[in-house]
Amino acid sequence: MTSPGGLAEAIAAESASGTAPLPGAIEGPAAVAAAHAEAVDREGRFPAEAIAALRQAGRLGMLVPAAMGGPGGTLADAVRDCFAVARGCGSAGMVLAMHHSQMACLVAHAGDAAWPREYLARAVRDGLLLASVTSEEGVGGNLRRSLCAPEPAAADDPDQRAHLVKRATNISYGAHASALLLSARRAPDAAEADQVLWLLGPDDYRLERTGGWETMGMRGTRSEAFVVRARAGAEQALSTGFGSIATETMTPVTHILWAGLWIGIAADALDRARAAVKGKLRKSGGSAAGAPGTPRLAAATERLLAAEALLASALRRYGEPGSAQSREMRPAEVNMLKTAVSEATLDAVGQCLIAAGLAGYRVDGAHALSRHLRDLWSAPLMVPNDAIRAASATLMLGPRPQLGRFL
Amino acid sequence: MTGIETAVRDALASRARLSTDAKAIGAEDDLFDRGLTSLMTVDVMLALEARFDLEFPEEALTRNSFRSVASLRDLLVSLGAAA
Repeated sequence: MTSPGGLAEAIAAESASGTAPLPGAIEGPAAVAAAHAEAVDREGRFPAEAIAALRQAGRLGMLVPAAMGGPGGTLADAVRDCFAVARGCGSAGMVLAMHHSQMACLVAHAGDAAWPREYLARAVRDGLLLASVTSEEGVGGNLRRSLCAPEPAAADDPDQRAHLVKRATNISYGAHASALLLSARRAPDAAEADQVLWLLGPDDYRLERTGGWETMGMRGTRSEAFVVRARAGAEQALSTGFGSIATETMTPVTHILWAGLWIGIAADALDRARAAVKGKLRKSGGSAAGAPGTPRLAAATERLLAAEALLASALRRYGEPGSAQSREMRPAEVNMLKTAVSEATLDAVGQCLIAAGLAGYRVDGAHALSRHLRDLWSAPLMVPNDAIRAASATLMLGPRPQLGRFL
Repeated sequence: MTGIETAVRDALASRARLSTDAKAIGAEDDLFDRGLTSLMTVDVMLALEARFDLEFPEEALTRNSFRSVASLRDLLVSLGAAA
């Protein structure tokens, strides 16, 4: 498996902290993801083979530290996996990224609590896939509002755990996950913004599917609508409030992992466009100097190197989930990583399409770019960039942007 | 309750849209758990800077500074705010 030097070097620098070698390797699962990418996209189905291969290779628990029974991988390790898997299949890369961001929340905020720590040890052992339930009908897409709240069990109920019912507008791979991390109000009388995360294990909930996922791209994430009905004991609620978890861990880690997978999708598009341009040139017998399409390949690469530089910088500034350093990463920088990388990678694939011409425009053949473009169009839309930029604008009057830290 | 703390609560009440009444919130309660967001901290900062005619230094613009009524009060005291 090759990868562009920029990201590979940045990751090598980030990973050089002497952690134990991770089990398995990513090359195998990445190849499995690539082999099934077309079918996953065409049939709009979960990338089951890729996730099974990741589980088999022990990659799903990689962010769990040794002290919690895991291999102790770094965030940069997780980014590298998302990049490699997305290079083969964008949907599989997205599932992996969302799983890791949820795992990061548990790792960073489990504290000394027994329940989440036991779950993490079990997740490492059994390769459990964790999904996020932050969306809800009636909150206007605002992560920081919840309507649902735990309701106490009836006095005569032998099961004294609280009831939780949440009408989620989207749960990515909900039907394929083994556990859920679900946001809810702290108590029936708590305000909408007073939220906690509940960790629901395999036997704690049932899903009723209420809506489908027929989309242009990212068709394998199966981000369908569900009603979640759960029973959970008080020990299953994380003690850190969701407001802090969202700002310190969920949002920055998600944006960092997304950047890795988006660059992975674009890297495969660049490979395909280069092959298409080279194939045409070979037929015509022309010189590489001034060959048609090559300026577009250079333009695409320029955008991807810029995106990689932003990602490497974000990894350096954020550090590891739960670290003191991570808590002070500027929200504007977290936002800008997302807006900039989503647009740079999408634009890069557009350049690749122009370079590849008809070979890229065809939806069949080795140079097809349709799936890459459709998958990457989710990037600026999933949490709309316009909304994120409006937030970044407000933050410009807060802390001074940290410029001049390029070494 | 000091005058500075009252001013902090006034700024939170008028600029932060918290889930609980800023006048009744515990001095040590985590404001981020009560709905405070990074966006709101900018407006809270602007209100307090205007109220006390001072400027928050760069190193004070951290999440910990805005975490509670008490942390904001202590920050203002350290900056020489006079109620």
